[in-house]
Amino acid sequence: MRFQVVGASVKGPAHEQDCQPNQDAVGLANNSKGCFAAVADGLGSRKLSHLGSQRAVKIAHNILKNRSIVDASAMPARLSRAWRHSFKNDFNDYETTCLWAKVNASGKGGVGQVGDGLVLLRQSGRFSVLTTQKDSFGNQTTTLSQTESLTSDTADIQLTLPGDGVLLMTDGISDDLIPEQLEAFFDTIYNHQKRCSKRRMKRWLQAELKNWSTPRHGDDKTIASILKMD
Amino acid sequence: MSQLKKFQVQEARPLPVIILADTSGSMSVDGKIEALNRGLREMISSFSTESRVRAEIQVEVIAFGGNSAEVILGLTSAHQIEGIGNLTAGGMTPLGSALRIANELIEDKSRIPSRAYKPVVVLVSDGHPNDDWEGPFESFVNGERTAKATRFAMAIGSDADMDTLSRFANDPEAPVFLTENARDIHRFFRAVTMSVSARSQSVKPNQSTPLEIPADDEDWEF
Repeated sequence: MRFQVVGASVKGPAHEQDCQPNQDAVGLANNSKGCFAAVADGLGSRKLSHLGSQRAVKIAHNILKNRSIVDASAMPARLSRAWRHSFKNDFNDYETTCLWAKVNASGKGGVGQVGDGLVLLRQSGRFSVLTTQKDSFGNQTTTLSQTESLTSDTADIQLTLPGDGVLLMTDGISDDLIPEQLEAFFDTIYNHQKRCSKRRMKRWLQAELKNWSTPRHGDDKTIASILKMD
Repeated sequence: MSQLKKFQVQEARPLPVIILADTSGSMSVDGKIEALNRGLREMISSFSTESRVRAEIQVEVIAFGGNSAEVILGLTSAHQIEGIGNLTAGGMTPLGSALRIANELIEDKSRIPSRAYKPVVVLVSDGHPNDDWEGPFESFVNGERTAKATRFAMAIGSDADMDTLSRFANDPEAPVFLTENARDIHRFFRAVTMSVSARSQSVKPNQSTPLEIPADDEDWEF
């Protein structure tokens, strides 16, 4: 089985304009034992949230890197505890979301998200959206520190067929995607990956995110994927 | 050429601003309705000329006077508003009717989609509501989506129902703005304008921005 793990993160026009850091973070890992991907979106109102998002993807990786079996439903609380502990519970300036996925060498694993963003899945050829549809308004997010008191979206997954995979993205992307086009979006990413090296795929994603076309978009944009290629 | 553009929404994310304006008979005295009209016009004009915005500011104006509320301006992008007719004062204070209209608007995902930033609702009143308003009020402050809106309130004069307006205002940084004279209506709308503009320029326009009432400007006349 061959999996491809790719991600890209670009600073949004608003942070470019204000000379602020990219508050999103992406973490990727791939070895013979499996693949890991995570994205995180630091809260704009917190001055050190870019560090909080970076810490979140690192901790998610640390928790999952030596596990061949992933208990997806236990992950939000575990990640939240470890993340808060890493700041000695003084985390107010670091608040962030986090979306992660991990599969072992046979494609079995878990996926989950805390806060805004979007998780798209294809398993055994069947497309689905993990993320619960929002009833309220954009950018009203749950954060990693609130995980233990709120429900998170998680799922056990198995990527078995070529074309199967997981796409994780922050809300700078997901809030501007046409809801009826999510499967076609997933397929376009996959089909491009089929023709590209990892490095070219990353450059292509960065260019696409830099040239985002939604009028007046301002947010940072981050995407990561684990795709089964053959 | 971008291959992902076709999946991207080609409309800016809306930031709805809904004004609930008391146009009961008592607003006709002491220059109140004139100040309200001027404040509204200046607010819309400011929104329409904002250039750094990260959102599409949309405005709806609901007047409540006479026997029932009336939509004076349906939800429209600020830069597309060519003008707004003068509000005229007369009759009762049918707040419940206005809240029903606002409730229907905010809960309607076809008019305010989920990707919109949370709405700002501004209530301006100088009296006590006197229609069947309690039910609509409870529905509005506790509704699934309406409860998440940012709500500002201004009480004009000592006859205003401070208890109801205080329960309406939900921004901890902006308690009910109480004024005794009409010129403060203008200052209040300037504060709302600045708060909405600041939100619309931020990366995440849902972040609360304080309602800072500007100092009395001496060149203001009516």
